[in-house]
Amino acid sequence: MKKIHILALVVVVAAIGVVMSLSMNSSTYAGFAEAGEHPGREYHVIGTLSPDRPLEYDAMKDANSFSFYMLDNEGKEMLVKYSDTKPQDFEKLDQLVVIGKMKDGYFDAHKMNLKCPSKYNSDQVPEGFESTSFTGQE
Amino acid sequence: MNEIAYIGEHLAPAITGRALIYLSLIAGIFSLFFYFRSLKSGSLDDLKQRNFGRLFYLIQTFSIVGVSVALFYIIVNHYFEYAYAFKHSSSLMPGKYIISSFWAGQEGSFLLWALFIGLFGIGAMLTARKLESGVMSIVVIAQLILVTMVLGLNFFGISIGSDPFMLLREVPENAGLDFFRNPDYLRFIRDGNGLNPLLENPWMVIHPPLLFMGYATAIFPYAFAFASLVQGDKRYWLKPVLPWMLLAIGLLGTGLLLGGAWAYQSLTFGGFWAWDPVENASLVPWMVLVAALHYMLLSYKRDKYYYGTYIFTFLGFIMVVYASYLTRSGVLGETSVHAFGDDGRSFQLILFTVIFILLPVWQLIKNRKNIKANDLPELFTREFLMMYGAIVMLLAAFQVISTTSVPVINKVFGTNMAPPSDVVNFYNTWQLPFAIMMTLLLSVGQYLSYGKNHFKAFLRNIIYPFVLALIVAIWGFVSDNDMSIVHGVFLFCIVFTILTSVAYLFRFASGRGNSAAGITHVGFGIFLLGVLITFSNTETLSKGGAPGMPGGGDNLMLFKGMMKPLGKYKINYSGSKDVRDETFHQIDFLEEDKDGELYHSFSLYPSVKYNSMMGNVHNPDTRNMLSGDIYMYITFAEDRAKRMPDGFVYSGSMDFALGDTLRAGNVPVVFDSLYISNMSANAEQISIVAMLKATDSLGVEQTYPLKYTVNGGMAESGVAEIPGSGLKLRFDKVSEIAKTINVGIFEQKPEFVVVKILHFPWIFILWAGSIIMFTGITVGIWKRAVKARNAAE
Repeated sequence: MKKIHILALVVVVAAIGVVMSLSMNSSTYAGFAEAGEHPGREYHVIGTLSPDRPLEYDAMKDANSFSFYMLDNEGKEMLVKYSDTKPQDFEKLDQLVVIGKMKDGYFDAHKMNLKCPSKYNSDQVPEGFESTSFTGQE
Repeated sequence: MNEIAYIGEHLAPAITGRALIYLSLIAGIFSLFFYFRSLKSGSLDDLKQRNFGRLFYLIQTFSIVGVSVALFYIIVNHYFEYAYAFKHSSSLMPGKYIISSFWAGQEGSFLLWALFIGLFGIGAMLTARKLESGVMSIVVIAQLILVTMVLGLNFFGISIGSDPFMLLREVPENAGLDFFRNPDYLRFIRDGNGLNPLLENPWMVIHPPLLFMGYATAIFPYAFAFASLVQGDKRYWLKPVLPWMLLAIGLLGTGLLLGGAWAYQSLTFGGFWAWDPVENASLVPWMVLVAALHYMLLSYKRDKYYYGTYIFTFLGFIMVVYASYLTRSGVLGETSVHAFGDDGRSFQLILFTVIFILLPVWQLIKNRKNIKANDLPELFTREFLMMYGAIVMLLAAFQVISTTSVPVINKVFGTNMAPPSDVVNFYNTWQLPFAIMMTLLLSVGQYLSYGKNHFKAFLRNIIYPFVLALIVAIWGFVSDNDMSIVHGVFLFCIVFTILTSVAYLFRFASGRGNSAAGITHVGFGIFLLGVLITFSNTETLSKGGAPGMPGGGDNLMLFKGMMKPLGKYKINYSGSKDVRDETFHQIDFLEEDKDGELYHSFSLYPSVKYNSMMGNVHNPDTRNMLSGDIYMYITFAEDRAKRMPDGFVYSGSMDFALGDTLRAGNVPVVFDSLYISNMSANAEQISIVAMLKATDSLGVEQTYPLKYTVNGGMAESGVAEIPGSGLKLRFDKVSEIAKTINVGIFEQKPEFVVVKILHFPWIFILWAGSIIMFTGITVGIWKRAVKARNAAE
């Protein structure tokens, strides 16, 4: 066997190692139900804000405590606690991903990815255009 | 349906721009045709074919220049009838940032890429000589693909690219809107959406073009390699390609660092590199190109190992193309903060990648006899260390790109993997061993020559930097209690790299040799030293523990005028100031002098930029000091619109019925009685007075009138301050419910901001290293270009 083959083998093994570690280290996307079954594990939960539920944030009381209710993609509602400030425009977001673990009766998020409307792909129509009718002015 | 004759639209730039897009396509096809024929004839005597190829290449390039000018013209003149101008610019934008609107959208950034390839391509065309036909064929193919990205053609339901000159009324989402049935609709569009406020930043004017120049120049090493295979000369191309390789590395690297500087100065994640997929997508091509450069130098010096050089060089640009698929096809979805959304370009980008993989595979198979694999070099030679350094670099790049590609893996295999939850930690842990290996190989490699080496002489020389680095590392390890052993090893490797690179520089400074490599490697070492020191010692100063802070958390609440201790400082929020759409909050940092007297050291002005279209942006402020930066940003601030000039904050409105008690403030307020007076004879002025009762600070019950006056159809809301309750009430209207009024409640709240404060120690080392590194690369480009020219003459 040529030395080049040994080298190739080493590289392939190293590459497989990288991929293996990736699948072991990565957490998975799941709903709150699945996250609740494995309270110690990290999950990414995708969902939306529960409509008509209040967002709890009072900087005067505790600047590091924010909580809200969220619906996952299966429609299950869950209280989410996040020990940081309330991100701006939180009320307006389309979709969010919370990353964290299930605790007693709530989801403890240490990170959130927020998907806001109109960042790069803003709707073509300016705000308020649809609601304003200009036909009467012709 | 009749055609509507619209008023005031400027259609000339669109007609010109679209015509030029088609012209560039046609010219490109012709250029490719003639360059192919020139390639087939294989003889330089047949200049006719080549000259036609050149002519059509120039037509293609200047058409792309024209398209870009047309698009820029639309943006600069605020022609908001165009979707692109409407979406990405506004007339209120500061003039210096308007150029950023050009590349804010997909179409513009593809154009920018094509524009830079086109212009650099003229340079390649004039200097590639023997390889010109092959090089230019690749360049033209890439340009043809890039131009289809802005074609905007609909082909039996398949859309090819998107048209940058689409009018707002032609956008599919807007079809059938009544608004656009009005011939004079343009009069009602007062302004465009404007740029994302994050991009309205001086760094953002310079960072994207540099990055795109890097992407553009990365095609030339690929094209030279391809041309050399087609023309069957594996040796000749190495000399002319080296300046291009260095140029691509220099431009892409500078672009990356400026992106980091932008993130550090203007974003609030607190750092300069977040391992975001979009950042990774430009880092990986850079890493592969650097690995390819070292392999290339190996082939150049030793006339061997061509297989590796070809594979690495091709991979460099393949990674650029694949990265643009990742970031621009929408496949990254929710894993990235700043990827573009999907607009149906995925297929084109996949095709782009596949074509640029198949082309070299085909040529490599065809030439497999010509470039047979060499056996590995001996262990104790520079060849060996350079080769392994390049392979380690490639593996490091592979680790980054495979993790970034998780969404692609999910898509292909239907899996449900999420990216690692602590991304930064994950990458840092993985990249550290790679970095240790690379720095070690680099250090030792600089003390070895190509070919045979004498082990004793080597040991005699390398012992000095080795021992010195060991002393520094042990000193650093002992003096920093938190340092882990792995970081200690890394510190040793970094210092070893810096010392051996300096020695290399001096050894060759007098005689012949590569000063550019020496400078670059010194800079690289210093840069890594900065990264290690700064980011393993970054401290969140605002973290918990501060008085009056329940729980932990990284946020600090600052009430106006109330001093809080923060490390060696005392900080005070002293007020805010509005400048246009931005509110700056002044935070004073005070220090104690020798006598224990407080003095004002400096102030920081973190701000909130209000933008109703795209969301508010919190801009950090940084105090740069030699020993490190103090970096601060606002994590939460009250809406400035809710605070009245008198300091009261609107907290809501409510119905208040006669006899009820309001308990919003410090003392209960009772709605005691209601009077309606009709003072004027003709009843045009009516006053309604609500009498409110509350105890004052002395415990005495006081009465406060709250008045609502209607005078000739004009209503006036009275305001009553209730001392002691901390409230102001405003009589907003009479409720529909009997004997009930609607009041707006204003609370007296102390002004506050919530902030995060970080300390980045010795970060200037990182910037100094970067500057040295790119000085080295610049010297390298210059030297290699001179060499290539001299060889050609």
